[in-house]
Amino acid sequence: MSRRKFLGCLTAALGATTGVRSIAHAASNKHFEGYPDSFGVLHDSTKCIGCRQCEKACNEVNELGSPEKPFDDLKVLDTRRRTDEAAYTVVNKFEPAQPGPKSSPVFAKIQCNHCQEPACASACFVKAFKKDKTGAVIYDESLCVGCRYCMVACPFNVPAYTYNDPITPKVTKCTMCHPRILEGKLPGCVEICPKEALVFGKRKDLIKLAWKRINEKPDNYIQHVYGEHEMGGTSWLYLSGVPFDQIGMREDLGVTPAPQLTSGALAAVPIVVGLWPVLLTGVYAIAQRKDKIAKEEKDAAVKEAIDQATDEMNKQLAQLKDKMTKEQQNAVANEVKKALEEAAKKAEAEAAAADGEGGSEDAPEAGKEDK
Amino acid sequence: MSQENKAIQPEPYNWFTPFNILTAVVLAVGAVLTFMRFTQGMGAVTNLDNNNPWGIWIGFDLLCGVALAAGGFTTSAACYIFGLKRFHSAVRPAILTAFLGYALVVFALHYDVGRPWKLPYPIFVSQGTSSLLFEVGLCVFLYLTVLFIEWTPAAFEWLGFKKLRTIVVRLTLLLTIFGVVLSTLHQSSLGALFMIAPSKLHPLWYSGYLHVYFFISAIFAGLSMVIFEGTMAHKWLHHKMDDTHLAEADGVVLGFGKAASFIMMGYFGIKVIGLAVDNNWHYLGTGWGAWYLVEMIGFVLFPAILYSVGAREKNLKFIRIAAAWTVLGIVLNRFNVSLVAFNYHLPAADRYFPSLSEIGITLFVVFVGITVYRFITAKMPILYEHPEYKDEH
Amino acid sequence: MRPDILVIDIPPVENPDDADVKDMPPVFFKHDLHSRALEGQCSKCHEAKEGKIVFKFKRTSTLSGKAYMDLYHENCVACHAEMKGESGKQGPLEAQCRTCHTADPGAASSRVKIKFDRSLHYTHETAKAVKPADKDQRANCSACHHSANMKAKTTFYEKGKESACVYCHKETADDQMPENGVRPARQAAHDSCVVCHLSMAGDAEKGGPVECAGCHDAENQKKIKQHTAMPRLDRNQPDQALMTGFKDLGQDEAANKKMVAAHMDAVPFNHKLHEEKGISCKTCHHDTLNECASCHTAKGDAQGGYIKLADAMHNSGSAQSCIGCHNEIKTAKECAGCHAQMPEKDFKDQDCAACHSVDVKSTPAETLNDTHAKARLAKDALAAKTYTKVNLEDIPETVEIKTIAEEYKPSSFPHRAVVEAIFKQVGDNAMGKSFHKSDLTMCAGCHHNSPATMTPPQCASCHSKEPDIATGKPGLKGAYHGQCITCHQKMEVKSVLPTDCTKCHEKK
Repeated sequence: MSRRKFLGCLTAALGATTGVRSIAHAASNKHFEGYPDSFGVLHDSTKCIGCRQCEKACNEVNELGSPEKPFDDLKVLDTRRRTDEAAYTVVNKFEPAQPGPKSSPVFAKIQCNHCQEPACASACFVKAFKKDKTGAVIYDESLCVGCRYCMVACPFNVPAYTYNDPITPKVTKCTMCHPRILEGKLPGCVEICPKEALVFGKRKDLIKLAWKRINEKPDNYIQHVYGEHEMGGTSWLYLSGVPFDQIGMREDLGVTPAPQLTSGALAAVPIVVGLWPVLLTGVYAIAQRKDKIAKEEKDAAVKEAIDQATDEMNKQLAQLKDKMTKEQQNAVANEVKKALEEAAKKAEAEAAAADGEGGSEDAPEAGKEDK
Repeated sequence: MSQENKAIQPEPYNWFTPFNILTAVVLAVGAVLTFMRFTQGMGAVTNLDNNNPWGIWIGFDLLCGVALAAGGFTTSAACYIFGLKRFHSAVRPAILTAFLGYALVVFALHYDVGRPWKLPYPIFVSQGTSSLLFEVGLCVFLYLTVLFIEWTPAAFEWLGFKKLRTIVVRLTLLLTIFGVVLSTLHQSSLGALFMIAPSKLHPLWYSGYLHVYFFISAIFAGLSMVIFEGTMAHKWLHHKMDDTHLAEADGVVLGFGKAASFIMMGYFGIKVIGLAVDNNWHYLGTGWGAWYLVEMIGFVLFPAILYSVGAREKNLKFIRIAAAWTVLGIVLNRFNVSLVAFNYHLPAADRYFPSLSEIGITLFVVFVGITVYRFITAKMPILYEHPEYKDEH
Repeated sequence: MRPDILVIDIPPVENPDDADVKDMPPVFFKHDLHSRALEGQCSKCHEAKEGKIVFKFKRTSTLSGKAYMDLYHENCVACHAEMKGESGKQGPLEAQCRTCHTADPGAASSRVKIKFDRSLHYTHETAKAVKPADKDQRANCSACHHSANMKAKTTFYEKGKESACVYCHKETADDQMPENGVRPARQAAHDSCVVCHLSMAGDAEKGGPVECAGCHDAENQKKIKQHTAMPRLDRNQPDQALMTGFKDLGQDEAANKKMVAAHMDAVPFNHKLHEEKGISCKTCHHDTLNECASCHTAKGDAQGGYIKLADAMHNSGSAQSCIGCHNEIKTAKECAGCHAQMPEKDFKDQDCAACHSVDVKSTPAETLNDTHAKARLAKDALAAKTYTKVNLEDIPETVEIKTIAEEYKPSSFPHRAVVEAIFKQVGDNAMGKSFHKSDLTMCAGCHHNSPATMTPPQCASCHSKEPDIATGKPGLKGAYHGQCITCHQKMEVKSVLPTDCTKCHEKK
């Protein structure tokens, strides 16, 4: 296996280990059942007549300005709407699936459902959303950076954004009339609802009430309280006489609270932070050691090669030396001989001609010298 | 290849090349759009709405920007941790690209978030630790710092601060490991961002392993980007490169290509496992399934095979094509997760498509990046080694 | 809109080797078009067997697979080719496959079943053209009604045993032969009705329809003469019956006592009244004309589909049971105003004595074994039922509802007019009278959960301003609006829309 191959596999394998889905819960390790005695609202769509009074009350409480079409214009209901920056709640009209003489349109109200474990709060990286002990999920504009991750996270597509505000845009959504609740008043929509299709109370009591209604008139209701378990439960609860998906409410959201959806990924953080440096340092050490050993081996080989070369050279030098000494000795001997001969000649010449001249000297050739 | 006349003669610079003119136009348009964005609000320049809070400024500028900047941690890890010294010449360009990439991501975020001056809030004011976005923000912030420090030696060499440079170079290993940890975390969390919305993302793209997918795809995205960017640099900045860089370039392409092919095969494998874990086979028969197969076979399996063939045959051209292909594939994948398969259940009328202004701002950000890159490579020892610091590794 | 479209499609093949013949869409055949083109000569397409036309195409028995296909191809195309010479028009030929095999869903049949109701039955009863099988018979029942000897495969007329066709001729899909081996309803009807109508063809006065559209077109069905006054169908049924729940008693007095004690008080049932309401026999007697207890035994067994007698009478989910049918009637808008707002009582909380009103504990056994004597008991019990009316003058004319007036002025409620309207709508209703027993009962539609008096308590004496979550009791606003608006909605009072606030109270 080549190193590259190994690395490829290693990366994949490690990636997989960090991704093991953990059953830990994000931000805490126990299931949050909601604050005891927190409030909620029960919306019974079988009682709703689509009068839009709740929209009007909401608009007044939150001072949202006057809408394009007045609230008593019920033609507005003919188009499907969602909550936006100018409407924290909207009512939609749904024509019955099987039109008949006995079937009449069904109305469904949309607003923030005030989840027990809100996706928006779990997603917000500046804690601008808070689940209050009253049950309301409240938003702090002063912290909001405006990333809109809450809108991505919300399974009910509730939060809206003031896109047209250049400097201080904000997220807008129903507050469950948190300030009014603190004053002991009812939420605006609940207070005004002429049919008491909206009932405000403690969530746990509302669940009992909802089931009581279902059990009293089983033919009138779908046997399900929407919001009791959806996404871990919501403070806003719904009853309906027709399947919820026919009145624009998704039935495929599951019962997992939003924080649990990302807990596995968050749990990988300490694993990576703890494991990665150790592993990487190990890999570094192995790579270094490999390099070191390779270097040592190389050095030894080089040394050997150099040693061999030196020996060879030394031998040659010695031979050369011998040769040279011999040559020198020969030369010296020759010189001596010559000198002697010359001296003899000189002597002879001097002796022979005391009045004759001297000849030039021949310098002997010197060999190269070692340094 | 030898390069004579190494001494760069300052020729009179020609400002009026086609590319320069294009750059000028894009930057000018960008300036106008920026003015509009910050005077009239996001609504004036984007097609974002309450159902589609995130558009291409997130889908491309953030998700693709970060993924394509992954070359920084992969290359530096290969060179400094895995000890593959022959990639040394690729490290600096990769780090620079990464640093620029991340800087641009943060720059682009100023357009997308409502109140950009509050971007430090999650780190310094109010920490929403349960949020994956917090993890992204914190890691990007820290990694940007790391990248900046990793890039400073080039600047110090250019400016001649020897002592400072030595200190930073000594920190190389530490910084590299830190960089890998941070990259692992935020690359994966970018995928995990979408795990909070199982009801909105099509099951073929939603997975409990989304963070793993994003991390692994970021690795080969980074490798491919290094190759791709090298190819571009060779085309345009050849004269800036020294012998070492040129000599090692082909080795980098081959080595990275081979690595990418392995990792992409692995990625393909775990995607299939993910498909099996969630038992989503039946979706493959739908229109979404066809689109998913386009992504998986056309933009993962095919370039992976092209890479392996290229690496085996020592065919640089194949590898370069595969790199460009993979980069496209990553963009496709990030678009699918954040835009195409997101809100898939909404009726067509409620779906998002970017406005011209949004595309304009995105182009503007990209061109700012290219311009800064050109400036830095022209001034600093990125594509060549500083003569004073040769043989230092 | 064509009620005459027949789908010609190869029956599901048992032999897979023949499967290759099924690569074309079915043919939507316009029957009336052809019968008109052939000037009503059925024999051009239909063969006769034992002197009777068999309504299958060019065959008297069933075919399948390739043989079936070839039969149609050969005969249709041959006839189309033959017709060419005679007139300009002509059907598709050999190579024009797709002209017939269109698979055009737009050509789906608009055929509706014909209801052979009491009125249509009476038309045939009184038609001189419909002659009894035997000249000596006074009534012409034997013209259609028959019993069957299943062994000898023969039919014969049995006087006093007439019953609905579908008791034997089961309704099946695609004319499949039902399990009992008797011709399915559709086939039997065509064999009988169409053949008979054909025999009188041309007699527009007396003859019945011979084309598909004659019976199976919704518009044509409306043109069928509706009789209003008709004598009862006489099958020796009692006018009133006393339902005791047990069969004949024996001689053992102790055992009899035990048997009677084990059952509820008997129910006097007004059989005649139910007939007069135009309910067909089949509605209750869904499988035979025998009394319910002959299939539905006290314990329930296979013959009665394991449905106990008590359930057969009380199951609120079945249209054939007393309670189920009465509940269905209560959804009519006249009743729904009150009844839709009342939770259905649990069975154990129902007022049993409303129906089980005849105490037979001390009635001698011979009386209980005698149908006529029982019928007399039932008749007396029914005659003894009373209904109390109230004096309209004693009812308040208007009621000012002002307890919670905030945004709107008090509502001036036209109390007496509303009461009158309700009395008018429900007053002559036999079922209402029988079960309400008094006008005061109808007061309880609004003044609920309080004794039935002429001076019921105020709403505010029970309902507080805010809803009571623990008991589920609405607040005053919810109570008023719930009562008024829901009733208006259920009674389809179009003049007062629920969202039109100022109809009832002016804005301040």
